[in-house]
Amino acid sequence: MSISKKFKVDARVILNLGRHSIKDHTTALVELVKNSYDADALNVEVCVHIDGSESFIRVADNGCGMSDDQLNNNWLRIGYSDKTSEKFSPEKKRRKTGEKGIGRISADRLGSAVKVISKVKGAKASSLTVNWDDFDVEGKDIEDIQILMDYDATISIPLKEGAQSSSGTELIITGLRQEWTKANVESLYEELSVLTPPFESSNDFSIKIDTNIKNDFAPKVDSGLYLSSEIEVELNYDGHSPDFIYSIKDKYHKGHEKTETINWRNLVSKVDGDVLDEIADYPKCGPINLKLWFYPRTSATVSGTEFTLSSLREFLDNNAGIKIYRDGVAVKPYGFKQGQADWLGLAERKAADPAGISRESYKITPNQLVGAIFISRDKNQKLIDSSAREGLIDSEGLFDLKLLTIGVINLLETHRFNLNKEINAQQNKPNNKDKISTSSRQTVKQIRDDFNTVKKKLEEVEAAVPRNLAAPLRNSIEKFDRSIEETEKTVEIILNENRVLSGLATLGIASAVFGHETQSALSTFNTSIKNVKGLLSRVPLKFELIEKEADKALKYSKRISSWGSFALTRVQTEKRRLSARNIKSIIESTLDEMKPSLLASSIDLEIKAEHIVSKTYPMDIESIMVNLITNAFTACLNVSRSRKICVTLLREDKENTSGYKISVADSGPGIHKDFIDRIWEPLFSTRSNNSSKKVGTGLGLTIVKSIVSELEGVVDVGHDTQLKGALFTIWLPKI
Amino acid sequence: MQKIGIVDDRKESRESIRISIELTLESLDRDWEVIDIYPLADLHDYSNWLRENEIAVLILDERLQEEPSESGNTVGYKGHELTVFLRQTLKEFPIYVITAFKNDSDLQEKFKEVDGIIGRHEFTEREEDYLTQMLRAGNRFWNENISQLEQIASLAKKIAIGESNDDDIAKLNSLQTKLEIPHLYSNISNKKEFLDEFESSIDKMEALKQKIKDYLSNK
Repeated sequence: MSISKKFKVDARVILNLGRHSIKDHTTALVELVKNSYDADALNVEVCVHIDGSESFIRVADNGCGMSDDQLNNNWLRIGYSDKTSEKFSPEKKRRKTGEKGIGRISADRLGSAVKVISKVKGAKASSLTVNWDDFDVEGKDIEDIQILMDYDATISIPLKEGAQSSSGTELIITGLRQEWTKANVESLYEELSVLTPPFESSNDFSIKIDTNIKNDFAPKVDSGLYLSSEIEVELNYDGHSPDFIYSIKDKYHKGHEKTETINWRNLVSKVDGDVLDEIADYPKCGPINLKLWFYPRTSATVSGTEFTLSSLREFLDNNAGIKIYRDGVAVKPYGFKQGQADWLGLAERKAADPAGISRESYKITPNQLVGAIFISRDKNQKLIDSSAREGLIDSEGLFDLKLLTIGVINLLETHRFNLNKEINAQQNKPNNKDKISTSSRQTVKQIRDDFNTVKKKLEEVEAAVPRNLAAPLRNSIEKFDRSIEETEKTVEIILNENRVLSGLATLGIASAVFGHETQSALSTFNTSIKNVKGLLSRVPLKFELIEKEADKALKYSKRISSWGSFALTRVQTEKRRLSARNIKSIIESTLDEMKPSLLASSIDLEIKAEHIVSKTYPMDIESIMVNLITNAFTACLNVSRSRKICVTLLREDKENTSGYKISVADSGPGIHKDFIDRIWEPLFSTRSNNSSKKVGTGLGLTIVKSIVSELEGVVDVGHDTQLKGALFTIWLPKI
Repeated sequence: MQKIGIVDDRKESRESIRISIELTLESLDRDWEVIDIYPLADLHDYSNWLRENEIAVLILDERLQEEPSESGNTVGYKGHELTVFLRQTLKEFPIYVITAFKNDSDLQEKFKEVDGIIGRHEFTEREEDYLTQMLRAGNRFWNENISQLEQIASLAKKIAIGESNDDDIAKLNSLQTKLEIPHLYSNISNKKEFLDEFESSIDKMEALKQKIKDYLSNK
């Protein structure tokens, strides 16, 4: 015989659903606020008041409220949720956040008692008072626990658009189970401030926090800061295609947005080629919209906006991270400081490869990035919430979502790398060809001129006021005058020292390059002399051979001595004095000294020079020539075609300034277009040995640029169409 | 007679070294010759050059690309690269690099491939000592080489008169491979087979010749 039975529910199950399954009290409170969101509330007031036994938490909203029937049959029905049948809110069509019908029990996590007061339009407010501790008893069914309902309650809810709201819900929780600290309140503030995307212009859900624990909350984040990102990327994925459309824009190309498509497998291969065998042809996360904003933490990011660097940093400290928004509501803990702020492992990724912005493998740091991923409960069914409200369940969908997000970050990084090259090119472009540089002397001169203007004004002031009143000002002016004079002298001394150092550095660089030549010459000289001695002790004497070896020794001894005199005369005092000189003579005499080394390597040297006289420092011209020729020499050795260096000196005016141009062209391999913008950087060298190790000093051209800048000239580099190698051009003003 | 070979792009430099070595060999009363060349255009040409000139010791400069040849071209390899290439087939062959840039990083990385990296100045100072070392290494290589060549000659003779066996053929192949000598006897086990194959090849050539004739006359 069979008899029907029913399940009974122990009263204690309430504790398992509430107290024991919600991670912390902040999470519990956020769940209650989400209920207000689902109820179409425009405003929610959250109050955390701590005062011993009088402590309470209050959550009040001006949503649609609950009728007596809804309170009785829905709210009191554990597991009931209209969110499965009515997925969207009645008025604003918000996708409701919870479906399991247990969110209300989060109140148990917060305190031992809750009073729920609710009102619908056109009806009186009703209330339920639940004492959760009543459920913590043995042997009682859940239905045995009494709950008090009041059909004529008093409710206090936020105004709706300035007027009394006709509906809403107020929860008052007492018997708080946990202490609330400042940190807890900050965490609550952080979560609630980004519960819905703060940058969405149609944000119609506002939360106000009130507490007696901490009242110095940061002001509401201005959504305008989102507009001042350096780079913004947006990706839209339809959920089933292997290709995505993404767009990138940056602040340097206003009005230009780059829109491209990329294939899923191509995107993943750039992230982690090892997982290609594990993934399908398209990501299984479902359709998503992804937005990323990148902010370098520098003043350049806020330049031209009304924001300051400190407001940017505060913004990033509070908002950095990539959040996931499902149906407009943030899914914890992704992107939350107190949760998994860096759930994509960007910090670890950066630590594994800390390459700087100038390298192709450059990675951003997590505190520079604000991001949002928009998903939907209905469309992203493989991204499932865990019941403990602690994120999404690990699944194929979540795995693909992570890969996809990192792939898009990779696209952003590539864009940033290319942008940096462009920015550097603009900044380092040798005075943009038409722009003459400003030297230190000019800067000091400007200061002197400005000061002289002030001195003249002083004379006018002195004439107008009594002497004793003007005296302190006169003293200060004289003091400044002396300071400027000292500065002018110091600048000259420093420039002179710099000149000597450049000369010595140039000599060092030339020695490193031509040292082999001198060493070879010395070695051949030694061997030849030794041969002469050896041949002289043999009979019969081989006169022809003896003469040949002796001539060789003589030839190489001259080569050695010419290098010696070249080295010794580089930094003579006389060459450091500014005087009128024949530029052609300086160039020719410098090249004469270098010619033996060039000839030893079969490099043909051609000089075409006009007669030009100008005031200059001979050492500067020599340093420029030695560095450029050294560079050209090395370049010529790298190719097997006929070796040649061509030097020209011609008159040329620039910006109404009379001047002259020195060019050095070589038959080397030329300079790769990727290096053209960097060739003048200190320590940057294009030379490498067979093991791809950099071998040049990277200083020669930096010295050239430095000298030319100080002489108020212009440098440029390009390709020589005749010799097929590099062409360096220096323009200097004629004084 | 064994020889020392010098490879250096700089004509004057290599000539001086050659003269110096010749004088030193004379003072050591050693009956070796010295030859010097500009680097060969193709690395593959070195094997033949070494064999044809009976080079038992090789002296290289490291920087072989600096001075062009008389035709105006330079080679595209350095001394250490030539060494690595030669080592593929000549594992025990004595190779020395004499250079002004002894500490060149590329060269030092290939230290194990050469028998010595000597600075030019050092070589001049202690030429006799270095040369003695080189000659010893050269003699060792040469004697072993000669002995292997003699073995090849003996085995070839055996094959020609039909007194060889499989072991002899295998040994001959092995020696030919080691010394990079073309394999003339790879598939032949006795004289009769050799002659039969030779005759068959001649018949095939005759048939081909006739075919060509017919084709041309029909055109």
